[in-house]
Amino acid sequence: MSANPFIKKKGSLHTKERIQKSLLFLGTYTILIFTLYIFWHIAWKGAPILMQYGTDFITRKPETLEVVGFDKGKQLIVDQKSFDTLTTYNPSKENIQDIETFKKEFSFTSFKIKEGSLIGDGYLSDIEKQNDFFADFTLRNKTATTGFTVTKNTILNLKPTTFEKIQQSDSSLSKLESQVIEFEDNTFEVNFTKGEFNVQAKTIELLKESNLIYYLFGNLKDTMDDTPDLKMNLEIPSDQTVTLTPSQHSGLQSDNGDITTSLKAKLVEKYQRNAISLNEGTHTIPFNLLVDIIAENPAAPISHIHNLDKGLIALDMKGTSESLLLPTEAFEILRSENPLLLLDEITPVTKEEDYVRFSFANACMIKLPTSNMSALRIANAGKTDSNNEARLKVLNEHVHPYSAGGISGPIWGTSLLVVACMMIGLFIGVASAVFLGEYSKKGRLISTIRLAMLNLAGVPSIVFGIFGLGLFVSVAPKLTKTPSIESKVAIPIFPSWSSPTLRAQEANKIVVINEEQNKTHVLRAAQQNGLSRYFDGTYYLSIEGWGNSIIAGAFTLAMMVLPIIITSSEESLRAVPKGFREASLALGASKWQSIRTAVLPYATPGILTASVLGITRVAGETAPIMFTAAVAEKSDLPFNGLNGTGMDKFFEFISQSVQAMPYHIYTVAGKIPQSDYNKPMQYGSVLVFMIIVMAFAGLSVFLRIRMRKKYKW
Amino acid sequence: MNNDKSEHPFSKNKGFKVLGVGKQELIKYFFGGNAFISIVVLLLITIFLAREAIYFFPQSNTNLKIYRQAGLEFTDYTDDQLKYQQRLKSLATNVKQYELFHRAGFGEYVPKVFSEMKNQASEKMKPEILSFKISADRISSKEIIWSIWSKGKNEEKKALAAKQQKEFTDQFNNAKRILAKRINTVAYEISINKLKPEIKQIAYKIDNTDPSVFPKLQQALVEFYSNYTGKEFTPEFVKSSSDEGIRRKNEIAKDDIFTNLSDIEKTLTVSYLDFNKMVNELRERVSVIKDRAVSYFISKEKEIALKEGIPLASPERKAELEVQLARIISKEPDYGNLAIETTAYLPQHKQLHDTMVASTISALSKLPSPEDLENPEAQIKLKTLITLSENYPEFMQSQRAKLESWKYDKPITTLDSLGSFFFGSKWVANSSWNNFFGLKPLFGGSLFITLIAVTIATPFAVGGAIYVNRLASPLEQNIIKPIIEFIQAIPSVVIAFLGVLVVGQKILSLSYSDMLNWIPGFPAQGEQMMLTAGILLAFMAVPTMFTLAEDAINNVPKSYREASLALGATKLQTVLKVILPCSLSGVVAAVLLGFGRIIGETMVVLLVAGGRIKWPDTWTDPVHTMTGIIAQSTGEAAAGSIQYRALFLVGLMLFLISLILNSLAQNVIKRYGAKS
Repeated sequence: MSANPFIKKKGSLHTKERIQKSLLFLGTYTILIFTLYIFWHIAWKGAPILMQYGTDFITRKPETLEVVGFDKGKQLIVDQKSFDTLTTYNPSKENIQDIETFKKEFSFTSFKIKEGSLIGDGYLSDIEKQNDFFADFTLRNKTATTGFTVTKNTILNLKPTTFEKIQQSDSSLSKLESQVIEFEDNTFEVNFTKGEFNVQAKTIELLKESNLIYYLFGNLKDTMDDTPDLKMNLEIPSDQTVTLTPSQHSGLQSDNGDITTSLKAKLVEKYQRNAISLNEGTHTIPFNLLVDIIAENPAAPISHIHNLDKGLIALDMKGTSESLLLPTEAFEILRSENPLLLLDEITPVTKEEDYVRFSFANACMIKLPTSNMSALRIANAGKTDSNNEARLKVLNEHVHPYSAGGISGPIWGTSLLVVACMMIGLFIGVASAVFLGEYSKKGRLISTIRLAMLNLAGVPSIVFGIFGLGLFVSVAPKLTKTPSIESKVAIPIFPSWSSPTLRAQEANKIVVINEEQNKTHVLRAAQQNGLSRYFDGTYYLSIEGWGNSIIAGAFTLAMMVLPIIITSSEESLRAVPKGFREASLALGASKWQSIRTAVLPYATPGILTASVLGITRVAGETAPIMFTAAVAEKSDLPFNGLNGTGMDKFFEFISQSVQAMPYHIYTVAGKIPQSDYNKPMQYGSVLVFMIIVMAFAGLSVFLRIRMRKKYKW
Repeated sequence: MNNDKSEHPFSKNKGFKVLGVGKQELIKYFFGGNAFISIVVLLLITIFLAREAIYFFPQSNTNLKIYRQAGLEFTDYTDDQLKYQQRLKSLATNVKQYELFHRAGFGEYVPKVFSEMKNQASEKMKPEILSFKISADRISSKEIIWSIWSKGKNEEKKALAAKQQKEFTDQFNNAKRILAKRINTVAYEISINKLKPEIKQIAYKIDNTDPSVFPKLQQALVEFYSNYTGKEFTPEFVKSSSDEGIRRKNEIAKDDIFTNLSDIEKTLTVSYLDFNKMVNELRERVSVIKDRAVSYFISKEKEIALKEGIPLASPERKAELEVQLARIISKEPDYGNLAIETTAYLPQHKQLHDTMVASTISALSKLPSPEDLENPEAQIKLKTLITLSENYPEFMQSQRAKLESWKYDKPITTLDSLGSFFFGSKWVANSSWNNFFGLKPLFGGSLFITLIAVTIATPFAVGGAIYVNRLASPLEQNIIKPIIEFIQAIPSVVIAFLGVLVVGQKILSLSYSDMLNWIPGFPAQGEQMMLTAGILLAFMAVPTMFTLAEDAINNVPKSYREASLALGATKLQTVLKVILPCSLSGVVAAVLLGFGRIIGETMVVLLVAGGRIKWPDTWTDPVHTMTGIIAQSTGEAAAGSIQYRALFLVGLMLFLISLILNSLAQNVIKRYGAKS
């Protein structure tokens, strides 16, 4: 029995060994239990949510959840689809009663727009919202005739010059009689004395518009936002006499600081106005005069949806005319307020939709996503208020952001990021693995590369994030025909023949430079006017970065996943027996031929496994995409809302920011106030995300096991 | 023929050459170029982080210069004194309150717990309460009309009034009945661990002293809603225990120890009132100077932009811009004169300071000894107070000395801005007072979380590796290894999410239990703390460490094992005395790499660590970390601002730390590993 040289006493060894062994056992299984608990917890909490919301959870966009209280007996109608959503979000049946389906008729008008039509901004966006329609502009017109609606009989006071212009113009107002009224206006000449004073921020805000010269210490804007009554330090460097308006003067009088001023003179200025009375209804007038009227009578009950700064748009229909659809009511407004809109084939259309009528059996709180809630509000609104918004009487309501809808945007975003990242990563990774495995000889250079790879693998992901922000987002070279004005280096590459359309110029704040103009002067002026890009007929390689975009995120992630791909690709290259290469070379193939035909095909499965492993890593990372690609909120899916053509469209596509699954989870778990209402969204997103990631992880494990069995040389 | 020749196996390809480089070489260079990308990326990371980070120091220098010249530094010295004083006072108050709570019982706190329970119940019974209120409102709104109708002569209206009155009253009674029925279930669904954190702490304490209180409170809740009229009233039990608590408190407060504590508290409160007033005055004055300094700095840039813009502007705009140009501050504030006015506070400060210190020291000398108290928490607070009071005179003296030797024009060197970054204990951005960017608290947070995580993860990972590699059956191996690989695939944001929703709460409620009360730092203050983050990060680091450790154990030559077994050692002895020592280098490397992985992890610490920027005292404190601050603030920092630069500098530090850890791990393996 004492044959064992390590034992002194048998009993003690036995117990000791047992304790040690059970400790090791316990340690191992604690990890397993913790893991299984996590999986179980997510599945247990998430599965009922996916069951409840069904495919909607994958196909809808993230939305705000509105929780609205309705009184007992309140009767409502809503379209069938929203009603289905309502029953999904409010599964308890006993609250809703008297459910009845019926058909509701809507009258629409179908029409076509002819080439050369003029239209106001707001009307165009109304049409575009209702139809899948996008029109470019040829030019802006500020003098053409337009329409506006007066909502109730009113009197307008006009400057004599404006009135004269109206009389001479081709307008429905040109025949109107006017009555001359006299007004008077006061201005004050005030003496300011030199010195340092404490003045209230709101007074300084008023004085800012005057010609008073002062030195102000501190940030006026911040103070105005927080505490407009706070006194700020103001220095008046010399004695001055300044003309002030009545509001500036009274503001100065009521200031409770220690500024000393004296009134030098009160000037009275008399002026005349022509008063005309307008009846309720639609009138026509040249656009620039409409702007003047509204500027002189800001409170007049005039409704219009023109953009007054920019004038009417001349539409570029590109020869094609689509058939468009608008609700009849909106169409009538469109037609009467846009006299220069040339319409064709106007036909009334009647549409029937399934609607549901129901009422509440109890006073209850109803949960609905915003889009469905607004459908409900519109369908049941008694009348619209002054802002044209539908009003529905409810008991109380509260909203919870990111707590309804689904996760289609994040899923698409993550997929695009992963695909783009793997394309970049595999290209670079496999190429460098081929070099390391096939071409390189042992040496200092190769060991440096390997050391760099090892170190790269250990770099924290957040460091990759700010690296991506510093390089790809803000300095990477971008091939574009509209470089940023602030770009310091822009190398001309090749000419571009298609200048950006007027619409694109307005939307992206582009200034177009002609050949005759002095570029630097135009650019400086444009910068002063808040424009951000320019076009001068050339594609540039501009050092301005790619912005928060798919491509910047994909490159950042690719840099991060590179070590994984290189290491495992090299491994699978090494697994191809040497005999293959030698046989191929012996047959006369060149090095590249033998790699291409005798090595790479056999290494492909291994490389694919590596890429699956990479996908798992990339899909789950949040920190690298936080500042490079991801946004919390985006209304369109990545494929929608692109208006360019050809190459420009592709560039636009890869330069947009996207929602991403991990960032979405971060948003719902950490950035919004926590309540019971956002639990479903949280657990649902996490479960879907885990299913996707774990599927890839499982696939990689499965592939590796299968490969080991299959390729044994 | 030509064709044949080029395909001849031994012929060299002469057809295609660029600058004397053939096709094969070009392909080789193409691949080689790609292989260099790893090095290039590393270099680029260094360059782009350093490019932004390096500018931090000049900006920080300017910042510090304004801080000193404007006298903010001067004010902060006295402000620190004030804060020390306030801390003493609040500790004294805490000691008194904790002890009172312990001796006088919980009675006083019962209403607080009850009102929180009431809030939760009303949250749960929202629909019932809503319909109750609606029916009550309906009756009250119609009451006047009914009285008019029933007094009138119109018979129809009279009948209608009677009918409506009956109908509405029925509805009201019905709603009341439903509410009373519902509260019977709801009241018992509310448990202590569902209450708000600050109330929870009190509730646990009450429950530990007297377990019968909470059920009684639930009954009181039932009573409250059964007799609910829409108005607030206090149920009998709550009222009586509260009254009893207050009565006992007043009684006990007459004890010697409490009168003594109250005196101390009072003296401490009164002692710094005047001092506080003076500091506030000074602070207001100094911030005006600071505004001047900052406005002067900003106006330089504005002046250049305006001068460029004026020639290009339209005539009307030109006049406007010229007025703006005239308003530009072109003269630097006269710091010397301003500083004289600031230092003029010194005599006043000395007088107030001396009175404050004298009365405080005399008050603190009367402090009871910790043994006199009964409540352990109060004892801990008292001990802290005593340590603080021992350091008090020295601290005050040193601050006073700093004040006296303060000079507005003492030059700021690069060393100062280096020191303020690496050893600064504050990180404050976008402050109206002054921005501070000190790495110390963030580094402390990162370091301690990582230490906690590594301490937890190492035994599990190494133990697991030993078990799986040496002791487990093949079947176990085939199950355990893939599962651990799966852990690696769990995205960090998911683990962070679980930390926020589940793990934090579990650990918090665990920390309240009496059994674990002896552990330092327990009970914790909130769900978000270093410990929670450490546990989650340990879990995340396990797969990395496990895989590396297992490799290391696997790499021990078979002959070692066989020799040990042949000598008669048992399996476990072989493992612990032969295999483990031989694979130690690999295990150490595993720990180092795990350390690197944890210190660079972002999402978990961002969501779970708590986000308080302060050097931690115990392991249950909330902290902020280096990775966390980057993730949190980079989005909102304007490019080129000092904050943006500071964040890049933090990123550079992280990068260097990861490089150092990595090369350390490589060195360990190279030097001590691979003996075979």
